[in-house]
Amino acid sequence: MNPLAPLIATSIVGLVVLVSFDPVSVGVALICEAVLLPWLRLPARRSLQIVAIVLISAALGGVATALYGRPSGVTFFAWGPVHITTGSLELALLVGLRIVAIALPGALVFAATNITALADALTQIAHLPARFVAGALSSLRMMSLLADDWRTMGYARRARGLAARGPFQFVGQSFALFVRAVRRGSALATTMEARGFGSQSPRSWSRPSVWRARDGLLVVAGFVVAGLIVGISVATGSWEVVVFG
Amino acid sequence: MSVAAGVEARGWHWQFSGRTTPALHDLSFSIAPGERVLLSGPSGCGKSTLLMALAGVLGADQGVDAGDLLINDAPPDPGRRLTGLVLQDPETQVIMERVGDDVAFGCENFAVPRLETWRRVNAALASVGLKVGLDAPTASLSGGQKQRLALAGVIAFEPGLMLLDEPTANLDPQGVLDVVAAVTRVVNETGCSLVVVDHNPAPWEQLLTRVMTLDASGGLVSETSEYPRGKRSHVSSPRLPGDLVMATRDLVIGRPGQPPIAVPDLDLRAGTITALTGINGSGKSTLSLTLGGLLAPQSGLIMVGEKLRQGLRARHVPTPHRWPARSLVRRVGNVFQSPENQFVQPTTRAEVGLGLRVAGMGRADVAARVDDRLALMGLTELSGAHPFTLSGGQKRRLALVSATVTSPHLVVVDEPTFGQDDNSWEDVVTLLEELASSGSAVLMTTHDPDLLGVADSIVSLSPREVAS
Repeated sequence: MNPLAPLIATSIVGLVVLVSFDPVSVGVALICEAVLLPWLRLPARRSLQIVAIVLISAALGGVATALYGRPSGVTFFAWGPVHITTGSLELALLVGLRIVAIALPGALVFAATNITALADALTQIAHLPARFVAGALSSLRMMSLLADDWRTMGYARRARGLAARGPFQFVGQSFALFVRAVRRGSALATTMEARGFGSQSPRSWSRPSVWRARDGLLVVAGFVVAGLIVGISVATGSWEVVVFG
Repeated sequence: MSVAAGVEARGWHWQFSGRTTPALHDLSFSIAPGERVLLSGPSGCGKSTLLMALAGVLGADQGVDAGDLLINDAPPDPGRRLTGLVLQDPETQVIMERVGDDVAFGCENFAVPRLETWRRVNAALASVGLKVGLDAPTASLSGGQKQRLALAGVIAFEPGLMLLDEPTANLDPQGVLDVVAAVTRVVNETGCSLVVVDHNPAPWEQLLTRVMTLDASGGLVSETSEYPRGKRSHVSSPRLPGDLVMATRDLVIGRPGQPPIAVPDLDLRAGTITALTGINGSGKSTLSLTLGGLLAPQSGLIMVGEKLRQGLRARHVPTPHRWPARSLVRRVGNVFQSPENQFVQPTTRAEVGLGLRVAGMGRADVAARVDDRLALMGLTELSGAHPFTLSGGQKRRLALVSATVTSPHLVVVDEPTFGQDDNSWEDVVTLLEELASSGSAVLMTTHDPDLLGVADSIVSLSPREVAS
């Protein structure tokens, strides 16, 4: 599957859920996601971790809303700014489910995306400039090296007799990490330039990025789900748009 | 197919911004298409800078040039596919996440068609002897494997002039032969020109047709008719093995997320130099980190001798990776494979003095000791320079001397002679022997056959993975 397709599809659904603010649209979104996400054949172990993280953040969001959300209806508990009411509990449930509906598909899909394949798709299918995409790709790869760099620098500081803990060491090491990232970045740029990257001449693609019918189908499915969400919600008369501020 | 490229330099100068003297000056020489040149000269004379200039990657923001430097009658430009450069540090030359994609990168930039690209990628990987598979993650390669990867990435796009900076420095002996054979094959097939910087020139002798030498000030390219023979024989004074400093039994090591490696039992005695060899990826650097008290072992015993043990809390003794940093630096001198990784100070001088200051030595004594050490390593003139601005060989000597300035009981050094010319090689060996004679146990990772001759014993790591 082309990595662009699930990203586009989940973005469309996510956007609609983000704009809407009513239980019906969230419910429809969650049901559709539960039906469709397994079709993407995401890696099970990693996906479970992500589901856990999203559920925990949703629960936190829900609890905060229950405690501090706009009070209405029957009050169960009040203490200072904290009011737990039927209204705030309903709101809390809605907020929690919205977090799941918006964050889960995006997080699952992005975690399962090979960034090299995504970069191939962005240049060959979306026709973004190769320089820009390759630059972003190499910086993303460098991000994944930061953890290793941090560990290596910890070794270095320890080996040189500098204590490994404490806020000053943390600040010092953070700055060193920054310097290191900049140096690594410029050395990498030299290497890429030495291999002909950045010249004006045309380039070839060693990994074809193919857009198949099923990729199109997936994007269509995204639009269908978005349509269902709005359609059912409006038809049942519960459609509401989120009010910012 | 590439066209062999020629070089013409007429009174060419290069001066880095921020430096008061030019790195390279008055260079006039020519290299005919198809010539194969050894570029030699003392450590720090500007060999790497010249290679980068030829590859067209010295930017106008890095310094100023004067005179002419031409590749096939035009200024160097990496976009012309004339030059392929392999830089000194293999760590900074990994571009993509997967091995195959990394090698294909150059081919893509020069619009090599897809099928041809993958044919070349496979051929290049096979010729450098990197047999890890196209999908292997580049992040998990060892230093020597990354060096082969960088070379494959350049071979694959068939440049007209190959510029190789220390291409065999991190390789095991078989790797050196593989790489020289790979370059020879490419040069013979494509007829491309070649400039090699290598402080171990012997394996290249059959291939190279000419020797160009830079002097210490980065000038005067002289032609040498005689191929340089390694003059690295060293007469060691006899040493007496002392007490055990550290020993291991049934040790299994591994970095986080990497397969575990079983290690033969080691006995490191005071006053001895132990060499650690083994093919690339066999775990030499991982073992160095483990014995140096930086990485937790997976299982097995590390036994700590009387001298190291003094002043440590009993519960810390068997686990060097838990020793407090101050205790560690007084007992163990660690020198990493990539010296840049261990620099934590803004000047060469401060870098050398750090260990002494941490150990609580007075200011005047620190200054005297630092001067002495800088002189020993030929770094006196660079005492105010930022460590990152030194040449590859100078960085390595600085790392070595700053980690051992306190004469620790145990010295763990990774590839100490990388990038050294014959003179600085001698300096490095002198320092290592001086440490041993004064009672340190020295453990050094090396592929350098001359350096192996200095060791009292040699331990070879074979890649034996433990089933996990």
